[in-house]
Amino acid sequence: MAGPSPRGVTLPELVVALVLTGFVSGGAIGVLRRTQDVYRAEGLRADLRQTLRAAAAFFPAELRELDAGDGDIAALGPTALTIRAPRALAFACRPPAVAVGIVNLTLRNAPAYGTRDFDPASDSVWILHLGSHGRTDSAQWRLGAVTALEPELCPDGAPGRHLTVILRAFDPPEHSSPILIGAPVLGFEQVTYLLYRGGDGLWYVGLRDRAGTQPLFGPVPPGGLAFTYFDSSGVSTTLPSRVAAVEVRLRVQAGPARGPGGTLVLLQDSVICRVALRNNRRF
Amino acid sequence: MDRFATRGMALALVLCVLTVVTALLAAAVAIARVELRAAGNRRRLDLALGQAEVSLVESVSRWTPATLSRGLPALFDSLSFPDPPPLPGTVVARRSGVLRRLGRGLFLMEVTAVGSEEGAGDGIVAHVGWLLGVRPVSVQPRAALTTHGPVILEAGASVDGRDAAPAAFECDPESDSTRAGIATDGPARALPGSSLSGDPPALRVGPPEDSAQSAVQAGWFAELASQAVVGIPGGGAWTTRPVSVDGRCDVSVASNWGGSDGGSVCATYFPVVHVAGDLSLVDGQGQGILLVDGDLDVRGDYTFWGLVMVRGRLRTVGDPHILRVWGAVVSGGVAEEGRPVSGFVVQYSKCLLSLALQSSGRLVPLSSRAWKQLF
Repeated sequence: MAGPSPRGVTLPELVVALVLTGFVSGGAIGVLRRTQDVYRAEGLRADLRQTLRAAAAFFPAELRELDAGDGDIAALGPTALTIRAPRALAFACRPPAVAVGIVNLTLRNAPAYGTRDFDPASDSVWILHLGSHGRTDSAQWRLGAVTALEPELCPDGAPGRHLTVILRAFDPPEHSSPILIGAPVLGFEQVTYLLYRGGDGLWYVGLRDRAGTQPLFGPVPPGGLAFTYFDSSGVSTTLPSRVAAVEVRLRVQAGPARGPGGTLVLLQDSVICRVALRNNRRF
Repeated sequence: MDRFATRGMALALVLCVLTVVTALLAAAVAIARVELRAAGNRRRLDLALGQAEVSLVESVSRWTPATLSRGLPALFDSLSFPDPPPLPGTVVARRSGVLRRLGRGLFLMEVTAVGSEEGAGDGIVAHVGWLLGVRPVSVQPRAALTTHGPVILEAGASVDGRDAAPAAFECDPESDSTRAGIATDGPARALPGSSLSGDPPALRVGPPEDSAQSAVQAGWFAELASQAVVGIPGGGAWTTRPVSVDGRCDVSVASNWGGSDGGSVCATYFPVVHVAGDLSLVDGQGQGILLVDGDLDVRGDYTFWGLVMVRGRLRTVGDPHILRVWGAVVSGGVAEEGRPVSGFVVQYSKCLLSLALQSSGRLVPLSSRAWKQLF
């Protein structure tokens, strides 16, 4: 009689079918697991590269504007660097009222530049004092600490803010020329970039400021951050005032991820950037 | 029996493998695209920053303090300057800039550069700036009035080499900046009713030194004249006053040489004025640097703050007539040879001289903290 056999499957046939299904399923699961590992590893690698790109943009932006000859590098070491990091730039819109060691500045809201506004909790400022009769060839930057910031209008009605600054006491007298309208005021905060071990036992590249230490990049392997300093002739230096360029070597890690042999490995990648300080005195 | 009865799993397996391989390939392509774009963005950022810095250097030489005395007469004035359009190609950078006046001799030059590839979106922006100061022409007159030949001050005339400045200019006189009253190669004296002061009041300059000084003065004149922003043909009679329109100093008017009459909008305008011939000043006021190729006759009441350099003779003519100069005067002669000069008041002012000269020379970055990354 034609048509499907009414007979069932025998036990051996069932066993063979189960075994074959097991092999095929095992193979498929293996492929899927390997695919998953590849996905995971590629994701980690993408994160690593993104971290490195962020670091390669961050450090130059922080370091380019420094004037090492004027003390912007407060301390340096192979895994830590303390700098006066620029934060804000604004301009005086009225001649400031100067009491003993205190300057009350009115700054225009526009034009103004920076990553954020002046912060009385953390910022100091450089104020440009022009030379006699407003000459710029003998201008000097005078250092002060910001103690208060509040809204205030400029004399022409333009929006501005009032900045109270305590001048550093031991400026030499030749810095005592007046602050004129239009004088630039540069805000900065002292920060340290360093390699440190976090509470989880991992190493990170961190930012230390008044608020404490917080991670910026990481985790990194031990020794994952290295600063090297060069003077204007390209020779390595350890004198903060002679630094003309800073080389930052950063190695970051992620994982673990399964390697080609099936073993678990930590993925690592690195970046090197060398930053020339733009504001070192040229003449 | 149906010989096409399917009892195997080949098709399912092939489909499964194809799906997995396709997913892997798609993921690899997606990651590669992201990496490529990230690398491209990084390259464009570097390109933009490099172009911005190059543009800063290029742009500084395009402007002089003299041209900016007209372009940016008031504090916080700004002007835009686009760069030439980018060259066609795969990678381009658009650049544009803004120049702002922050003070008499203080400027902020901003440059924005956009690193982009044609058809690749908006590009990456780099924004940097330079704080610029002025390196003025080094003009150092020896006296309030430096001239040739005899000078006789008649009643009412006054020449003072002691440093002083009008209160309106908020200047701080310097104790060590006193000059001679008159420096000349002829005799100088003050008749009763006139005044001659300075250290010394009159400085007699001998022939060798005089000729050397004349050469130096000719150099000053030529250098300053090359930077003039107001050019006037010789032979005219002028009344000059500040002119404002809608609360702004109108620097397009040739008879506006700055000053503070009628408000302060032109008080920061210090032009370099060059007259190609003789000049008669009828009345009014001006400030900055006045360069006269021929003779200068003053036929009314005229006040000038800054530097006056006259190649010919400087005379006061008619009645009433008075010329007041705060700053310094350098001339080829005063009044007619051997005749006394009247209606002539020259007060040396280092401050006014300095303010005027900040409209000359060239722009240079401040020696410290000039470079700014602008966010």
